[in-house]
Amino acid sequence: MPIKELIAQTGSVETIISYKCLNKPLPVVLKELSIKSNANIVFSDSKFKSKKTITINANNEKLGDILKVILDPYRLTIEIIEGVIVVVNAKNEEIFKEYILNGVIRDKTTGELLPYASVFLDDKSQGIYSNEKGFYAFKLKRGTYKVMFSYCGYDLDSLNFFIKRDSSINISLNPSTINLEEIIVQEDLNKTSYRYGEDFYSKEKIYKASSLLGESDVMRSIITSAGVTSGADGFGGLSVRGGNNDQNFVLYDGVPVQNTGHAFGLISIFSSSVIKDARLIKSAFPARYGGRLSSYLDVKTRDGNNTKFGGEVGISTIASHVTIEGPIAKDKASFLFSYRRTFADPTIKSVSEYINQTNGSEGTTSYYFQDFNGKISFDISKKNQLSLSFYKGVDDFNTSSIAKKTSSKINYVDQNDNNFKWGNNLISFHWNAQIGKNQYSKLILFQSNWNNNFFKFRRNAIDSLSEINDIYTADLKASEIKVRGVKWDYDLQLKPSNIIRLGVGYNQNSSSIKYKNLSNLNNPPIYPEVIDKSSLLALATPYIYSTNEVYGYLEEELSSGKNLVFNIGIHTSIYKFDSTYLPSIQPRMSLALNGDYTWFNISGSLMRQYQQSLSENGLGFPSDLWVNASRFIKPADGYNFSTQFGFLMGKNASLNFGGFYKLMNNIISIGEGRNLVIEPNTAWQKDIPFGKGKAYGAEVTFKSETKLLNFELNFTYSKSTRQFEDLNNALEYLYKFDRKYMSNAIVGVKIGHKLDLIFTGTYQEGAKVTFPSGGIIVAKQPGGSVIYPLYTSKNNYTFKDYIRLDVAFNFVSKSKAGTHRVFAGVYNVLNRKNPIYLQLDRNTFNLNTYEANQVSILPLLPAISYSLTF
Amino acid sequence: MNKRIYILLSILTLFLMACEERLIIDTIDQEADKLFVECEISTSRRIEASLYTIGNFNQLNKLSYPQDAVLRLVGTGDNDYPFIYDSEKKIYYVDSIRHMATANHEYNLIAYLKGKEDNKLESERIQIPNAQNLSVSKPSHKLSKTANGLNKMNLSFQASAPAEINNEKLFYRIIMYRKLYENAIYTGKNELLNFEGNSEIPLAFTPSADGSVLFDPSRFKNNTFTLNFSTNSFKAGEKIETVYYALETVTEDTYRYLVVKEKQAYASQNGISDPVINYTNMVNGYGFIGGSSKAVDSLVIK
Repeated sequence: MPIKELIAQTGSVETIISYKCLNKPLPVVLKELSIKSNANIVFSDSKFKSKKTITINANNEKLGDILKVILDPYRLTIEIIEGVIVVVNAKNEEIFKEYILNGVIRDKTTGELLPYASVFLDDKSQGIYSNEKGFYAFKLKRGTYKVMFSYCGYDLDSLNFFIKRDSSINISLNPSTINLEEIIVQEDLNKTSYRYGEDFYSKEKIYKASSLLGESDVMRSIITSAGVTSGADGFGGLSVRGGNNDQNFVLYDGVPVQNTGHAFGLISIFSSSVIKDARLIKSAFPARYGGRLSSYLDVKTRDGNNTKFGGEVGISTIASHVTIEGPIAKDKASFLFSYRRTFADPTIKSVSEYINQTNGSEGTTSYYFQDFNGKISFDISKKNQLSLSFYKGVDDFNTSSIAKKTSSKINYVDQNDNNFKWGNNLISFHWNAQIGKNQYSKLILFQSNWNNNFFKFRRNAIDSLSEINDIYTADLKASEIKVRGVKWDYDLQLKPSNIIRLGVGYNQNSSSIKYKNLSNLNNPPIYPEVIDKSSLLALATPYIYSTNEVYGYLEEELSSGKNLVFNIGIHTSIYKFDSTYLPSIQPRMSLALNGDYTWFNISGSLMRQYQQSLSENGLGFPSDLWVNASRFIKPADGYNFSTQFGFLMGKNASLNFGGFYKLMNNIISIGEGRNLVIEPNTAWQKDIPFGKGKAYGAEVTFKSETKLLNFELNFTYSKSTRQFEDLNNALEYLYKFDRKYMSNAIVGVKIGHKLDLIFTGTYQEGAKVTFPSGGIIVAKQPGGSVIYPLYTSKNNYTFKDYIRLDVAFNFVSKSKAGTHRVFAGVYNVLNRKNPIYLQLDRNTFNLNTYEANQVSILPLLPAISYSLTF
Repeated sequence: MNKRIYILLSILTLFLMACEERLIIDTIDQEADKLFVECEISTSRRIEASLYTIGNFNQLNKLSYPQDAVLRLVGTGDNDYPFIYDSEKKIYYVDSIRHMATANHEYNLIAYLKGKEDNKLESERIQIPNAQNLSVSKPSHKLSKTANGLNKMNLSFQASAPAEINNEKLFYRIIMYRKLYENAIYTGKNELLNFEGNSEIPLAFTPSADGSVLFDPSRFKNNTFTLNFSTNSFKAGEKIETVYYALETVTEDTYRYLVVKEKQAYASQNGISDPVINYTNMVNGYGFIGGSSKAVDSLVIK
């Protein structure tokens, strides 16, 4: 065990010796050291009143170093007087003075900074987390310490040293390989690697989670977490503890993301080859987070490797990707670029042409998504780092079909064209700086653009001798959300047990929404041949709206080692729309008590949200419209309370019980009987009802880890309701994401060092939908009878239970070329038809009868993927 | 190429045939053959009720307006007022000579098809509210242009109305009109004024196609709100000194039911939209029975 020592060198204290003892009194140790080193050590027995004993094991260390280490706890030191080592009382100021130990924690292979790594003394009397940029700072009294450094997915490292002046130690951790899962789970079990209220997803965990079509996806990992659900198969967005999809603040390298879905939400925009890790914060919200009611998903991308060139190429069942990274200036600057694209375009086109031909029409369907990630990092000094991150993604879905039929000398033409296009453009500039020895500053400037446009064209023409009828309609819905912002965070480590965090920020939200409907029924005739998306975009007058938000926070974290962590803070904001200012004060508090075998946590937070989304179909599609708080839309407020109790069950298992209660005020929804029609210079928001929501539940999580088997089971029992004065006759109803019971199980079996077999199972109550209760009312109207379906209550029907089992093999091996990773799996191995939505269709054979059809999207789907990291 | 497509299609078909299945939903026909009734009892009108059978999805052609049903209105003191069927208007009514509703009177409604008394629909018991008046202050008016470039007069009133009496919530339906004059002589014609919305809590007001406006005063602080109306047009030299209103105090059942009907009417004109949830205060069937009392008053424009 090496001892690093920081004291001056003098006379015979330079003698190198090896010495070890177990629980011996100090005078005995001094005598033995004197004999062993042939040095003259003078001391007075009167100084040794303490009954403390000494245990030490020093190999080939200087005598002076050994003496300093063993004398320090007794507040003694040595002086060299005419070649004699004299043991004397240490001066008080020397004993009580605190010294700063700081540094950064990096990945040893790539030089990448590791955020939120755990740094703690081995006796757990003190512990802290590094900040987002891997920086940590301790204040320690003069003495000898053993400091542990831990990070999920990396080998635990420790350092023994004696401190007598401010010191800086940078640590590089080795990525773990063979025992990775073991380390992750053990850290989870011991709660050393994450904060209360957070779920942590390392890159490895994401790789090994259930994936769709071979695309490993952080969102797929997240929906297996306790209290988290989505619509079937990932559709419908994310609901955290009974909240709405829009109540989750998704940050990608600190930049807000409005929509996280490729392929209508089936695959997320987060390419796993560039993700460093992700954190889902679903309770105990620290004051530094604001803007949403239910959760924060903080996804970080990796820095490029600043020591050597490398990359990754991969191909899955649906897409392929390439990532390159390397140093721009060795150990100082790096780059990382990644590109991913689907490659199924020709297949989709061929198949759709064939289907259209079979149906007697012409036309094609095409779809692709692609995304591009980039990051440039530059260490301008040891204490200053700059980085530039950018992301550009696009989804493009087109269908066109035209059917021409002739019957009894009548010509029919039916034309259907659709074009859906959406994507995010994100860019951010980061400046991270260490100020002094215990302060850290982080500045980010960002812009987030979210664009979507949906175009539909329908034409039905009849041409006969007696009638020429040509009806065509075109619909366009387009919106662009632009968020520009700046945020500054400042951390001050007053003491190891006391961190002050404060920050300020500014966001400007701009919305531009275009709705345009064109039809030859209500407009001057326009030749249908010239109606396309670009012409409607040019014709539509945009509804433009801009708001501003200034916010700040102050947060203090007090701790007693890792046993007690008390976080208290306040998040404030001033939101401006038109000429109105809305102030908000949001207190936050959490308390975590961590014993060696048990833990207990409790937290309460008030949250505010200024942007909410409206969904016309309830499926969380990219067409959902984000709405800013304004004259008719109040900001939503949320009150979150949660608690947790857990304990270790032996060395390899833990059991955790949690509970939550959440109230939401001024949340919005589409009105009954309404569809969104947005026109400039109209107060279209006045028809949007707002109400309140409530969610509560209990969660149980069991984790077990052995060298061969990982097992995680979570179960949630919850209820989520909504009540709007203008919906459901003002009566409370179950929210669509209400799940009385949810359970997820993940079993990982290690087969040798290279192969993992992973089972992921989900069993939860089905989603809630509104469905007619079986009747149709025929009401007499002046113009005749009108048929109304009889809806007795909102979300009155519950889909059958959602059940899914996925099986996957993960094979990882290393060769000279790099690390090979092969994924082979089957999604929904039971081939269960889990419904996405219900629809009423006329019976094909008897048009007077209706039948209900449930539509599911994803049956049994095998997938395979391969990647090479070099 | 064709072979490749054939194989691909076969695989896709294999996968996608699993994506849709017919579903037997146990709620889908549970309300079939029950009755649906609409009955608003007003102190100023003959008591009438519309009755329908509820169909199910697979019996659209069997829907009917039953003519041989028995409807009874049970009033205070268990007085029983039978309905008579008007085959021309296809409605049921209570002979107004025999009974007219009065405020504070309590009623419930029973309906069943002849021979099916064991399958009868029965309502909750409701009480006819007392007519209330608006307290109006700060009336104001100003001229503006219509979309066609014509002049119109905008009228604005700050008003309040009681939101609750004896723990019973009160709701209202208002119709505002002006009398039309020619050469200072009343023509005998009235013009309904157009409701121009409310900028504080827009959804607290529900305009109807017949020109009336339903509203809930409890959604406003101190039950005080602003009413904005306008004329269709306003000729040069025309004056407006008095406007008139008919204010019906309605029960919560009436309010909720009529709001739902307006939503349904709007939805039927607007294609795909979120479903409108029906309101009912019936047992073993659907529909509503509600009460209202009307008061007529006038406002002097400054």
